[in-house]
Amino acid sequence: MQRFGSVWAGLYGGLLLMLQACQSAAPPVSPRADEQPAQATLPEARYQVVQPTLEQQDEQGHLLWRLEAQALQGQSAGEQAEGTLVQVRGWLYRQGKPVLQLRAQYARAHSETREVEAWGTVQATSTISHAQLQAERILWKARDDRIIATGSVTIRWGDLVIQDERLVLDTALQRAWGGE
Amino acid sequence: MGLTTLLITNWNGGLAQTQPQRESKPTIQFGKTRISGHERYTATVQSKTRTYRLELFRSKQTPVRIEAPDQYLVIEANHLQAQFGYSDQNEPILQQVIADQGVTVRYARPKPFSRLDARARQAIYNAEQSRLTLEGDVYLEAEDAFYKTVARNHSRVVVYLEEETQRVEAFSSERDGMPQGEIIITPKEQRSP
Repeated sequence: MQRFGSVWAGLYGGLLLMLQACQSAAPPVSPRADEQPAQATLPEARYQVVQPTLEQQDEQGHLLWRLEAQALQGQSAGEQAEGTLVQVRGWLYRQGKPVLQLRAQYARAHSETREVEAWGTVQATSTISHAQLQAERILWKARDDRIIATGSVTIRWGDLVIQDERLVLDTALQRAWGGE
Repeated sequence: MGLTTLLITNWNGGLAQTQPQRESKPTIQFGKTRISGHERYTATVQSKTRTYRLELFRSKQTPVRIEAPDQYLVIEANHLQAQFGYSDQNEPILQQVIADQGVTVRYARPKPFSRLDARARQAIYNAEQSRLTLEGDVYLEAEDAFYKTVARNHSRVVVYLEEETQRVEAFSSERDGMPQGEIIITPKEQRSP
């Protein structure tokens, strides 16, 4: 674990973020009393966490997504914490089953909107259709069962190859919409 | 920090987002078959049957164009539905096309020689049946080793493609109950060896 900032409190805040991601279906847990002054007094902590794993579940306890990374680079300030996963391997789920495996240089997630964004030579493979997707960036919207892929997008379904600058796909890569 | 909120945002994400966008025309390829000229489209895969369905609409500049050189076929239209799959020999083939609005069809088979240029409102190509059905104000020019054929003012023309010589069934358009269709078949001069 390597610190960019000068404080452990910021790092602890980052870990707290990940724990929340892993237990999003669980009721909120109040932070320990001794953390709050540290967050308030150290507003611009930067940190790096090595080999983190993040995941989110829905209300029924089904996994929505799971991201493993070489590192989480983040910063926290006041009540806001931000971070980027680096060298990411991830899985996107539908009804609790993994339907898409992806690799990307970077990723981030937003648990409230249930969105995952990945960028930097994104490569994804569907476990359902066995389609292979490559793009510079993807935004997955779990609630809509949609992936928006942008930048030199290529989808391969066996011998069928579609290339475009922007494509919308379902999570299992069984359907694609272009020109929208 | 709201406890139910995980917000992991990219602190240098702006860099990735400001990269210049490369504009290139979308392309679709299945084996040697290529589709171009489209703008809005939908593609669906049927994994169990290994078939792929596409529905495409023309761009502002050009109609949708599908070229299947293995099947000697080029079709252009404003709206096109295509189905791809595999032959019994597991070769990727264009199985079916339904083309609508401003349709042009070109079929050019070198051996045995067969050439066809047609215009119609709709064209249906079926590879399994080796049949091209043209409907709506059909105009057709065709040629094989022995004859040249021109057909005008037909409501429906069926072309049997895989036969050695051309076979065309034409159904005339009618006006006030009178057939308007015209077919001119001209024998080609046979050169003596």
